[in-house]
Amino acid sequence: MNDPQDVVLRNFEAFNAKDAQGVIDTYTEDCILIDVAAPEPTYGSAFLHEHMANLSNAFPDMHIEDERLLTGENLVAAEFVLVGTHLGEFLGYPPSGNVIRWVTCSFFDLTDDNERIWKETYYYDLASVTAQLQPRED
Amino acid sequence: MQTRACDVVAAYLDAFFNSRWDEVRPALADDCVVVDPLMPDPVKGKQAVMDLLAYCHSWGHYHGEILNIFGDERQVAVQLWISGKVIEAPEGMPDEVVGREFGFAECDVFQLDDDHRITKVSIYADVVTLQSQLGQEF
Repeated sequence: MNDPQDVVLRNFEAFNAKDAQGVIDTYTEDCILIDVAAPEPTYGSAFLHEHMANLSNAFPDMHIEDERLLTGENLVAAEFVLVGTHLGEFLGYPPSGNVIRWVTCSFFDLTDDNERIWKETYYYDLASVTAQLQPRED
Repeated sequence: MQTRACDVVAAYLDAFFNSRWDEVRPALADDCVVVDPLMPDPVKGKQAVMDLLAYCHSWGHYHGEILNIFGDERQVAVQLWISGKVIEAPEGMPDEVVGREFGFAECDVFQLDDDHRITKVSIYADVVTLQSQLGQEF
């Protein structure tokens, strides 16, 4: 049996390496993605491809910092900060050039063998993200 | 994994949601810190945290349902569903919000010391979701 943290660490490593397919491969094809700021869940690899492309376009240097992982049974909670320079449109906001810090906690539900993520629930405050996307006056 | 720290956190949350302040206070370390997206800065120190918790109950009747709790002896992660009703307009909101009902997902990550007192609570939730349920424009 794999350590539950392994698949999450693989996910983070792939994300930091800009390896979108590597990130997607850590999820099941029919995974469930729950964004607490969104009205409905999203599903599957197709959405992940689109999501990764959107992030990469908006924040080409986005990476994960300050990760802290906590393990349960087929479950990992991860606190982390997504850091990136806002160089492409995101959530309707034109590029600001700001370096944003997107403070997040995700709960990763894993398959029985801890090989893949079948559900990710990510918690964050949308207002604190969009506030950082505004053009700065200085 | 269910640990004594998990039991301490579950008891703390039950005491908080039911305003049993004589049980909440001893669960907190003197130098505890709460990071809450509703607050502009981390709240530091037991008395300041107690004031914040009391304030939370001054504007709403609400209940937190623990959906998931796990951790080790020093850290505990909790997924919650918070639901309730506004009884007094929170700071910065108009009186029209009184009587509105709300429900939102939240996760909390607790850190505890060797005596199982809570030293830090990091709260992850979307303030925009709450604001929109109260009829407030973001």
